[in-house]
Amino acid sequence: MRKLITCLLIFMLGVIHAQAQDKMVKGTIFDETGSPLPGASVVVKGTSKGVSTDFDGLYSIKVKETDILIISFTGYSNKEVAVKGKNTLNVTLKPDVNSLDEVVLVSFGKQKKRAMVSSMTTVKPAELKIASSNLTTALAGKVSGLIAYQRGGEPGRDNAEFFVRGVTTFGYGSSPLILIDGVELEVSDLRRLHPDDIEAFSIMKDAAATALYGARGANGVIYVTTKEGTEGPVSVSARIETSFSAPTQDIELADPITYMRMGNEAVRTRDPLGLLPYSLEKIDNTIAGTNPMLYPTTDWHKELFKDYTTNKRFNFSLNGGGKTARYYVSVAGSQDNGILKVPQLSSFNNNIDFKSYNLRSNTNINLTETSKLKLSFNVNFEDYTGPRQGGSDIYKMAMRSNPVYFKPYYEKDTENEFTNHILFGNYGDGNYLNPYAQMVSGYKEGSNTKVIAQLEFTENLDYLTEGLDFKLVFNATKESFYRVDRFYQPYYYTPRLNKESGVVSLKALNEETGTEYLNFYQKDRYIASSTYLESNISYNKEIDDANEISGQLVFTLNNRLASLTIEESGNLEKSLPYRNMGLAGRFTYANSQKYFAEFNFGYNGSERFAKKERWGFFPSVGLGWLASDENFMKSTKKVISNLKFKASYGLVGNDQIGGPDDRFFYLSKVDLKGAKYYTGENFDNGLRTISIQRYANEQITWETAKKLNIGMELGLFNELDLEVDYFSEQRSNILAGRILPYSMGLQTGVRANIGEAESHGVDGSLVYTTNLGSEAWLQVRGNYTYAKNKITKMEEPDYSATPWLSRIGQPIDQTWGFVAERLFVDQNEVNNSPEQAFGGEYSGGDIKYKDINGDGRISALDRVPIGNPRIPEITYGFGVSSGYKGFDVSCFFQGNANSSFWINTRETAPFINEQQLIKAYADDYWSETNRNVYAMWPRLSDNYVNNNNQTSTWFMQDGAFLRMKSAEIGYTLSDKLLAKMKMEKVRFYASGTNLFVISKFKLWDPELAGKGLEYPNQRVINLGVNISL
Amino acid sequence: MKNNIYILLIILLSICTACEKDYLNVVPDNVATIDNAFSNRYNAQKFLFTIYSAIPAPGNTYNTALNGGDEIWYPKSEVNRPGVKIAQGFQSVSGPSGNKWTGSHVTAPYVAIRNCNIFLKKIDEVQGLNKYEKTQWVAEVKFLKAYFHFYLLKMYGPVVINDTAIEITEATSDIKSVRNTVEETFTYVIKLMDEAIVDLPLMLQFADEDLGRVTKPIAASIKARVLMTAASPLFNGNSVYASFLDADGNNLFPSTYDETKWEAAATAAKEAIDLCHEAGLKLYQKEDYINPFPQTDVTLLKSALRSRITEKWNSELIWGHTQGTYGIQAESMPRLYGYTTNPVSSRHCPPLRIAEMYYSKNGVPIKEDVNYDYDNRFKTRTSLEADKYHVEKGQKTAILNFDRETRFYSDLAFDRGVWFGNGKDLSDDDPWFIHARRGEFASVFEVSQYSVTGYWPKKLVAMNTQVKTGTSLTTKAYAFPIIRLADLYLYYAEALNEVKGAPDAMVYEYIDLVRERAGLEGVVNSWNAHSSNPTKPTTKEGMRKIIQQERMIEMSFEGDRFWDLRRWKLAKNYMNKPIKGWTVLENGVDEYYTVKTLYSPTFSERDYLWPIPEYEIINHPSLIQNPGW
Repeated sequence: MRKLITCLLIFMLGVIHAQAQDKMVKGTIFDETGSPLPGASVVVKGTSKGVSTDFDGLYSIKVKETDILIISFTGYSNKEVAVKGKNTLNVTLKPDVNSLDEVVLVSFGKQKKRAMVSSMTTVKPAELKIASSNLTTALAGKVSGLIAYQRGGEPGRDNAEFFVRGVTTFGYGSSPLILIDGVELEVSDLRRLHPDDIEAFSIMKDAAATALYGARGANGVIYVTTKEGTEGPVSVSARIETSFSAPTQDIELADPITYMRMGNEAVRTRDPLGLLPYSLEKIDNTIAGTNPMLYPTTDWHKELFKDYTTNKRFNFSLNGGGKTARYYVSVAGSQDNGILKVPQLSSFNNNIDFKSYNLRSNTNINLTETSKLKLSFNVNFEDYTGPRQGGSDIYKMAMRSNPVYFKPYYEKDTENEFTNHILFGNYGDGNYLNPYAQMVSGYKEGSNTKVIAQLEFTENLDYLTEGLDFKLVFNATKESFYRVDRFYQPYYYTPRLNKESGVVSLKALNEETGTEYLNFYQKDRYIASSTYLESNISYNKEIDDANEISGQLVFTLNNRLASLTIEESGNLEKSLPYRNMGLAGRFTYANSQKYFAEFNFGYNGSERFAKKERWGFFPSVGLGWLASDENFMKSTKKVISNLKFKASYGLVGNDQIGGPDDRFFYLSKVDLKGAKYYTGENFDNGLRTISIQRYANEQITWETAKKLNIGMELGLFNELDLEVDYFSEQRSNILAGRILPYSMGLQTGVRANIGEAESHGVDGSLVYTTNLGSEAWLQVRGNYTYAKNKITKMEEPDYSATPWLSRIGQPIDQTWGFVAERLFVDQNEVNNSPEQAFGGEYSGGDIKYKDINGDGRISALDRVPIGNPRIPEITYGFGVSSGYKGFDVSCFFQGNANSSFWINTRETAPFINEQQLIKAYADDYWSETNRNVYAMWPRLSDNYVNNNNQTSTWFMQDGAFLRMKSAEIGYTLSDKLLAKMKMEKVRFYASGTNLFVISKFKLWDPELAGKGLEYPNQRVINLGVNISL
Repeated sequence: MKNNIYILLIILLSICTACEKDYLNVVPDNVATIDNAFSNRYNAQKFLFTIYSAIPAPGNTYNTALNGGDEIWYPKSEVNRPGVKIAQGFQSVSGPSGNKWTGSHVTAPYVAIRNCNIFLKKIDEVQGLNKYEKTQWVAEVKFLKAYFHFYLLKMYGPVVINDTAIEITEATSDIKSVRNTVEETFTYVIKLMDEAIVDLPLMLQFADEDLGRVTKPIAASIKARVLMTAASPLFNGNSVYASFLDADGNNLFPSTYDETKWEAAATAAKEAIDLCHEAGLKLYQKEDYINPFPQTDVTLLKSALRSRITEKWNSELIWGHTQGTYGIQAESMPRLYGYTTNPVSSRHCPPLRIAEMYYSKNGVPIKEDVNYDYDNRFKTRTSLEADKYHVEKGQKTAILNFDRETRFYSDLAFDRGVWFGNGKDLSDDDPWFIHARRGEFASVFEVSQYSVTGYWPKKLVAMNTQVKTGTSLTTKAYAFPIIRLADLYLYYAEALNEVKGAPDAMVYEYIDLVRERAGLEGVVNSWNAHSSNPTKPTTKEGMRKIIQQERMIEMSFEGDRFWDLRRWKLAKNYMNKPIKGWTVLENGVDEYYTVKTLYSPTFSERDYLWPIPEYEIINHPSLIQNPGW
């Protein structure tokens, strides 16, 4: 009580004191890029008097003429300015690469950066700004410790895949835990986040950082907090962007004439008596272009896809408040369009149109001196319309469509003058794939709503004992979506020639089945709700000058319940709630602000396991030493501004060992509603069959990770900051299949916690910031992540005779395949080579494989580990940004390395199922007249050649690439002009994403890897303006 | 003040403990587990049907016995079908075609066997099942358990006998996959079947509901088939497998020939025949074919023969499978006129050797028939008035297609041949005629949809199966035979011939019944009167050949030839000869009727048995691979 009174007294004195001042000073605080810095503190030197800047970086304070102001902001070096007769003081802060007193977010709390012994990377939201409505695509190469890549650019389905320090499990779940404002959410929520709304973005990597998440943290944690309101008058900020997007690269296809000639060759080279698909007459007439109706050529890519598309985004936010309440409100929206064409005749839009709106409101209220309340609402609406099949399938269809059989559609002729529908082209019996008809004959639409409400109550319990705080968090999330398909059955026509009159007319192929009206089909409907409860007690105490302790206990409860989609109805396991509960704690000790020790634990329960396996305990310890603050380092402090060593070791778990419909391993699962079997005179007495989908096993429990981290931080000259971590991890209890003979008659695999894997690697980042003169600045930053894993234990057959088949000791996603030597010269060589027993014919021009075990035949025993893992082992990025006066320029490169992928031979094999001919194949293939045994594509065929469809080194590609991920140029209007316009800040900018790529692989964007035939990644040119009032 | 902390802590802890007990227990009681399958009669019957569903469907085009031999040939587009691969000689150990050793679907034989074991163990727990019903179900399951073992046996030789279901929790080191010898397996299968036969009903009480389920005649007939297989050269003293030993050095195949096996087979066949007769089964005769409109005898006999398998559940069928026959009918049917869409895929087609296999109209092989112009059979002639019920009058076709036994015309369709049915069965003066030369309706429609040989297996298409309005196919469903009476008669004749020193009247009796039904004279008379080798039926070897050819003709396209050629160890002779057909992509008569070699298949010694998938051998080194693989 006494303390309270003293506080009050001081406060009152301060007010009286303030009244005695004689002058007001105003100004704006900017960061190094010239953006206003909200929340920076402005303090009069030598007093406790100070204010913080509002959302626009504005402040005003009463001062004496002789005062000196200290401006500070976490992450920036302090700056002192004398008042000396000025009324306006604008100050630009320089980033401080090693501000050790910065407070950073850690699991369930905050810590001074100085005291951190765990391994975490925090990035500024500004770095995550790219010309995309999907935040996940911005992560690759920006955050050390994250392996990331993007395998497709279809709006709404362009999430990047990312893994914290790679993957160390071959079980089901390898994706990190995602927490937004402390609550577990999904990747889609991360995608929807707008960089402008983010306060901080962190990745927790080691055991000390993640152990508190117990059974869920083993794959790392991504932790995002959103902005809160700051005190001051209302400030407005807006951003508007328009971008133009086009595929980074299109697959080049051979011309139709080559297609036909090689299509004929494909038949004749395998069967000299085979029936030719294209007559000479057809080829000649096509070349001559005599009658494009009868002899059509169709460039399906051109017919289906536009050259580019436009996307729009906006973001608008309000920020302000007073002593008792502060608010941050933002509205963001985006519209992303696909690149598909829409016919003029069509009454609906079959192109992808993905609209997303996001409303966020964070309000902080001081209820009493000691109690605070925070209310957050986040509402997200998404509307999607697009082709029924999805954009990626349209791309795939374009690859499976014959270029010379028919036109996508025909113009109306006299016979069809009054026809109301589009006259789509087809051939033969009308069963060929016309991707244009497929694409424009329908659309799907859907809508997704997600509402998140969160309440946080904080009570400062200093009145009980100093340093004690209590916090209660409650979160409720509701999500719903529905989807409807609408489509008609296209009418197909084929041109036919009246031999007498010479007139070409259109003949309807499916008058019976075609429809002009739209059918509709209700697809998924889905509602999910989850709740989260957290109570948190923390205690902080400085025992004396040298010793400081803290402790924290957190209790959490998670519950999620989701309805089933139509397809999933009857899936019992998915219908049951997903639950989690746990008690976590952190205890820290600091000595002399130089030596730090930490103990963390998570005690967690998961609903997935049998009673006795349900709870697990996950402890971790960490140590840190701030060497640069030692006395013996004082002399070098100018050079070595920061030197810190840290280490941590501990356990973390992973309960994601099976999919959502494969959760309760302790129970057997039986399907009593299988396909019917019929008996009876009329074959109509049917009963459903019963199948077993899982055998019960009570011993199944979670995966456990043992994580070790050793790190170093080094700051030089206050300009260069280097952080390097070495890590290693042993994962055990991975759920893996047992090897049981088929003669046992089991209907499904039997699994047990028998797998083990380990990984190690380094990640690090480097930032160099410097001012070049008074108005120019330069920043260079780079980061690097290397993570290599291997399997150390799993059940395997006896491979002692063929050790290369063993997966133990090999990376988790290593590929096994045959070593392709070259193509066979001729049948004679085939006869004199080891038999390649894949079933089916092969001869000269087909791939010749190496007989690894020397048994005279090529079989599954000859498969060896080939290439690198499919998930890259290295992700890196580097960039430069600089500014001069109002201009700023930045560019950023990103790359992946140590990965391989395979061209899908089935999907690219020309002529089979009318598949297109890739130009690179047409330019370089084995033929009887050009027996190039190193040609890219083996001997042509009109059927799948099993021999060539094996996974082998022949179609293996290096997945490494380096790409210019983004570049931006911006201009900020000068203060003078702004003052006239009564605006705070106006910045125009142009940026580009995925501008070019360097890679050995040329057929398509190498980042797509094996998905080259699907919706490609996009190159985006973006124009935008950012305004603050 | 301090008390407040305690209160808070107590609240916190009480939340923890209160929740701990039940919060994570989200699974309700009574979720479906394997016990539910035996909770009541209905579910137990579902389990029984699950076991039934594993019977390999004989009429499915993925049944390698239909198209994995030399009886059917497909366009090149179908080369990746499992049967076609085997037919061409591309069986492989890395991904065996027609594999039945591995697989985890309820239809995989080993899974079915495990299900049988579970059923037999759990059936006593079922409430509300009367004793009579339980006895019958147990007998059915015992029979099916034996049948699945037998199915594996005829494919793989030695199999792993599973008499009980091995527990899932057994340690890996205790679970071995070890093959039993052929002898052990046959003994085991016969023992189970004998147990089953006692308790099975002679006839189904509720045939309209239960047809397709196992009866006494079915079990006895399949038992005869099992013993025939055991007595046949592949399994009886086959010297090729003399060094095929298990880990203990035992012969996996019986190493010496044992004639008593033929005796056992003959006895079983006779017992089965008697049981079938007792149950009222008899050969499907001309009189059984019902058509309200007057027809000539020629047409009537042809229609009756064509209906001997496609007339559903007819008097000759011992065991029919209830899976649909739409696919096989659509693939077997030629296009009869100009269809606007493509209702039939028309590519399941017999090669020339099958057309040559059928007898002449005198009931002897065309090569032996002294009155048949064998040398000129590939030349053409014009159809006369006398031929008009088989070949379109005034049109030309190959001499091979003239003057043949009625089964030739009931079982095969060919260019200029007559097709009865498909809506035209009012009068035999107005049938369909097949026009199959290039540019004509029945010719190539698409590269994947045409007869590459110039023949179609009319036998597999029901009389009332029809392409309506030229757009869609409506098939008349039938139960594809697993075994039928003619099959059993010919087994009996074959076994007796092997048992006896020389053929006698007993041997002739049952083969002649089959011939008589087809409108042919008995063996002795026919050979005497028409064959260049009139004494052939008097010797054991000659009679063996006659029985074999009779069997291949009568049982054509039903999958029997595939297994018979293996059982007789003759596949190597047949399957290394070129597959031939007419030059079907030509449109002139002479060009069309030019013999063309479609493919030269290969069949080696190892192909008599299926390979066990290589990965299974790698995973379980205790499993011994079949010789040559």
